[in-house]
Amino acid sequence: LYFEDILEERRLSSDLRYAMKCYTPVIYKGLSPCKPNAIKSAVLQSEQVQYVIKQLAKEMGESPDIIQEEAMEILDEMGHSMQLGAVRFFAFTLSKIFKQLFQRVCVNEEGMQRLQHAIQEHPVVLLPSHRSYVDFLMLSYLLYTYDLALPVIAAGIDFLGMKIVGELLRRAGAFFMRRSFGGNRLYWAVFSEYVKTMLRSGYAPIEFFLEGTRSRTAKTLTPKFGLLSIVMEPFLKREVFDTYLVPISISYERILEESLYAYELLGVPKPKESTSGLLKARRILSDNFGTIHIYVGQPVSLRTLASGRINRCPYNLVPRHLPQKPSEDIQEFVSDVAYKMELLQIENMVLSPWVLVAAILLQNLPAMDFELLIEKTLWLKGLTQTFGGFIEWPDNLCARKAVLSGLTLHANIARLVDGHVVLNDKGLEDGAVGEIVFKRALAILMCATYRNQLLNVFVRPSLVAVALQMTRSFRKEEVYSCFSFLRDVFSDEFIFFPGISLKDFEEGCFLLTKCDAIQTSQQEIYPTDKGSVIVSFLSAMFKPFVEGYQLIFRYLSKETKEAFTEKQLIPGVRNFVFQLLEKGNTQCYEALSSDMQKNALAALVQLGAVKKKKIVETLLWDPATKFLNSLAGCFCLPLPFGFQSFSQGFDKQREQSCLFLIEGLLCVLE
Amino acid sequence: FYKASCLSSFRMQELLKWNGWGYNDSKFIFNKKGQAEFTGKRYRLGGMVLPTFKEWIEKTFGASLEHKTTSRASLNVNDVPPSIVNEEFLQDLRATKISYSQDAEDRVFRAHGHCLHEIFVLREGMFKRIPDIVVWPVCHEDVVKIVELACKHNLCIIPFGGGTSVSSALECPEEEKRTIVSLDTSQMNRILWIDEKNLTACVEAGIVGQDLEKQLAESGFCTGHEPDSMEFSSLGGWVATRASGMKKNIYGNIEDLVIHIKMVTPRGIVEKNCQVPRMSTGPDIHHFIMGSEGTLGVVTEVTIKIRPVPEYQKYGSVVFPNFERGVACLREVAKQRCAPASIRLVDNAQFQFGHALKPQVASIFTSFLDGLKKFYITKFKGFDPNILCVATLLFEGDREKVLQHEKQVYDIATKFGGLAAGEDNGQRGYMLTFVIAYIRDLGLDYYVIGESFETSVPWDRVLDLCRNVKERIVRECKEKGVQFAPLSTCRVTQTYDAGACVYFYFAFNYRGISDPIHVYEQIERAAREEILANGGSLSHHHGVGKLRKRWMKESISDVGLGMLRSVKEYVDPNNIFGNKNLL
Repeated sequence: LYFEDILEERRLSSDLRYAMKCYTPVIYKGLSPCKPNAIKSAVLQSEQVQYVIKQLAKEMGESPDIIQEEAMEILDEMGHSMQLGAVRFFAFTLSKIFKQLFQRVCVNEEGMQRLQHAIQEHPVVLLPSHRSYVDFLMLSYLLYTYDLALPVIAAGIDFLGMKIVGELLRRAGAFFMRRSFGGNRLYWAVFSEYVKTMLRSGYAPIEFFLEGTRSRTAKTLTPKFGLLSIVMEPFLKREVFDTYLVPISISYERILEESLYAYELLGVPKPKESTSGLLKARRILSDNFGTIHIYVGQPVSLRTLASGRINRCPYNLVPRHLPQKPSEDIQEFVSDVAYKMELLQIENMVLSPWVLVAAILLQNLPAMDFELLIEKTLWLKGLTQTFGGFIEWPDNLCARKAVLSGLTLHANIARLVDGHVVLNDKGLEDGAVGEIVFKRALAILMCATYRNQLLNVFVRPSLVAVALQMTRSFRKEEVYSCFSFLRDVFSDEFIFFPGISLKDFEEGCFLLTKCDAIQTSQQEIYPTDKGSVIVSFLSAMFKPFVEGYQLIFRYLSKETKEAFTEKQLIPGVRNFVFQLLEKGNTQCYEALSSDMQKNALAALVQLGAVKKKKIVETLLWDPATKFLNSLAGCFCLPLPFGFQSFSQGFDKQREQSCLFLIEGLLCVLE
Repeated sequence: FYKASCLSSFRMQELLKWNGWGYNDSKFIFNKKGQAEFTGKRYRLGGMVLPTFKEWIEKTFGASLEHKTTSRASLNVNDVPPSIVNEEFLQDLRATKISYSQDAEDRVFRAHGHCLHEIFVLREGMFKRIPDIVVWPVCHEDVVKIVELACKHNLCIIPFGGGTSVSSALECPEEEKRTIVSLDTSQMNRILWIDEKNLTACVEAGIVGQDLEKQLAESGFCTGHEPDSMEFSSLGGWVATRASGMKKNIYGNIEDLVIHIKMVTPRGIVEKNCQVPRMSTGPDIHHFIMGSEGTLGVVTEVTIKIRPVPEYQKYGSVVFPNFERGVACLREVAKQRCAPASIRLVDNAQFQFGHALKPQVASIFTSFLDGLKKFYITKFKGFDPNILCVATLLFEGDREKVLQHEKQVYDIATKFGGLAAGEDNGQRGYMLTFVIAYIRDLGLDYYVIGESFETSVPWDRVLDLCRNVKERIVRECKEKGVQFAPLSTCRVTQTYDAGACVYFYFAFNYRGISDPIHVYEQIERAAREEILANGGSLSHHHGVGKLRKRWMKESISDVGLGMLRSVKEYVDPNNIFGNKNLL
């Protein structure tokens, strides 16, 4: 596989000339070029928007003109106004900035070639992973460099809060969507028609983030479906012959926002997007953020995905311009596509050696022998590759150098002291207990950000390993039930393709067999002698999650009696865990992460242990106390039975078996 | 009684090709100079040299005159499955004095329609199952006798009219163990009476279109029903398939034309008690018969509406800068309900196809004029010759009204960027539909196979459907290993208030493919799936037959299919009419 460093050329020739180069991009074959404003008026005049305007006018007894006016305002707020001038400005400044920040920006050449073909053939949707604000700047920069049509990018409305920068982004092709507009029919109609109009005409590749927001943990977030269902609609209604979905994996050796994220996860609020904030952040320019790898995946034909699946003609009996809630079939299809694309992103994500170092380090706190770390890193490299992880490790680079260069780049996280590698939690000695815990948590969460990049590659074999330890049984059926339960519990934490628990289990077993960790027969699974190292490493890797969830469940069963809001829950759990950490009753710093807390809550809702209620515009969560109550204090109970009843659907028994399971979970870990 | 024409002889295969379309004497050939020529004197194109046709074929299909396949010269009688008829039935049949034949050629001729695979079998192979016997009833009573005998001896009857089916409707089910009787209606071809007061005529169902029009014309009338196959297809066939005619805008489709139908079924004769323009007596039983595709019985007599022969006919054509504008214009014409007798919009590929059939021009003057026209349209008006498309028009009626109507339509066309492009282009467009089937025979000689298929679709989906289906064909060809880009072209061929009928031509060069018919069928099937996914119908007028049966349930729902089945069960419980079409 060949990666091209696009900064290399920039370091050799004039940025100004590059910014002013003759730019005649490759565009969609059926495109009749038009100005951004022409798109807006086409949207306003479209049957879709006009229909909703008339409907609303009738319902509210207002003149359609007023609502039309409103639609116009929405469009003006939303619409991009791509201009070559702004693009050139970005091309110039970003060249300067990127060269400062990054050592290399590596792109897979054949991916760009495939993309070039795709853009000419059908409307294209770019689906990059989202780890940093750099993502979309970098992607546009990349397409400009390769003379491809620049994408229009769905951006959060918050950017408009930034003076000048917001408008600059707009001119570089960003269009802005409000964070929530579920109830606003006019907004929905205008927005979706705006996106669809650009897609249908092949105006430009459409770019958005399936994850919806930057992942603060570097772990892929579960997908959002709204925008995806919008861009899929023109094909499903056969307004276009096909649509290409292009998964793009952008991986950072060092994430620009790493410490901001850690603070945010610990409850220090994210600074509002502001121009002055951006200017303040310029000191990071003196820092080194290593290499970026961009893997442009194989364009996936939506037509191919849909073939044989959506063969009924769901849109034949209603005029296509009427707003229509997608059928269950289609919703399921959209969700499957979303997960599929995220899994492709994960598959193509490039992992740096540092990711391996971080994973090992976190299992060996507070300090680890340097030589041992090197040895372990090399071992983990092999394991990761067996599991299909995509590690960027130059052929001739020795492990020592790789680890050392990781330590240099991430000196803010860990350092080498007397032949030992220790976490960099400065000020440890002289602070109050609370401060020590906080600093330590910061360092651990930052470190975890890198380990997390491995998790989705490891999750299937690891959950089998965890299940093996939990059940202490060799019976495949039992291990599978437990695996399936864990998969449900962690359904918001890791990315699983919906509804294929058994396939995931088999894949996990297959990978474990491949690395000789287990042997399987028709009915049974045995860990091998040699395999115990792997099995325990894998379950230790996921221990923070098992333990963190356990703490959160405990908090929910013990500390809350009534319904609560998310705003109450997060600080509550945080304080609870914080106190335990201060007292030394737990070592699970990661339970402080608001991301984990939210995921755990979402899982409990899905499992039916907590109910979601809406009372006067506030979402309340209502814990099923009976279920949660006896969670804690069951540490010494014998091993659970009844996985089957759990995996066979949720009824009365479920609560009971759920309990058993969580008890079992606790048992193993203590 | 009126006289029957030559086509209704017992052995019509003597006049017609046994392994291709139409008359023996009419076909495309390449003459000694290597130029394409159409033989015979039956068509306007007859005897003319088509100088650009060869180049078009080579360019469009990558075909070469050096690579030729030839059909078997004649039927090999030894290959033909034997006729198995039980002697008791034959005795009974002889007693009725109805003509019959067990001759191999007679039976093979009635074992097929004109689907590509059927013609291919004739050229290179043999059908697994063909009729065992052909009978020629001459009147309604004969049919009643035959159906009674079939019930008595438990035989299978397959009615045969003009044999122009393109839905595999005439193919004998391979697994049919009973004797198959091909009931050829060609001898029932008389106009029984003409009622000038009510403008109706009662006609025997075996009459073919051109004879019907010719004979009615002798009294100054016409039906105006002109399907593209009207030279050979029969009145009974039109009823059995829900046919549509080119001039339906004035005269209506078959369901609008029919006043009364008499049909012989195993359960007895079905007909109404009066011949009225409309009645409210429950669901119209005519609608069980129309489109029944020979599964219920034999249509023997039809009372059909007639009109005085129009005083004046005028062709016309309009060039549009692109297909989108053309469709928008047709939609507007339909909206204003001012469609001429026929209005069709051909896409660019079909326009070029039509152009390739332009005969050698007689004088320098005409060629100069043609050049001037081309210059005006492409250079002066800026139409791209590879994008523009053409609407062809046919006006009919009083001379004065036609001219008025013409102006109205051209005015609308102007609003959509259309330019009048003369009568000649229009007329050639219509000619294409009559000779297209002859062109397929030519293609077959040079490794090019093709077919047409059709659908109906709401106006707002016309463009999407046309684009997607054409694209699907191109892609499927590529995927299936077809070496050369296919011809994939369409026209909007009928307009209605709520939608349009779209007609596709699809052909490709199959050199290098071992099983071209299979590949062809896969692609046609994919194209049909595409049509359905785009909100198009299973068929506008070709019918279902056996070719499109698989999509019936999806098309009319389970219950709908059950309704049709229950009618079949009541009317024909022993499946005497066992051609297995439709259901």
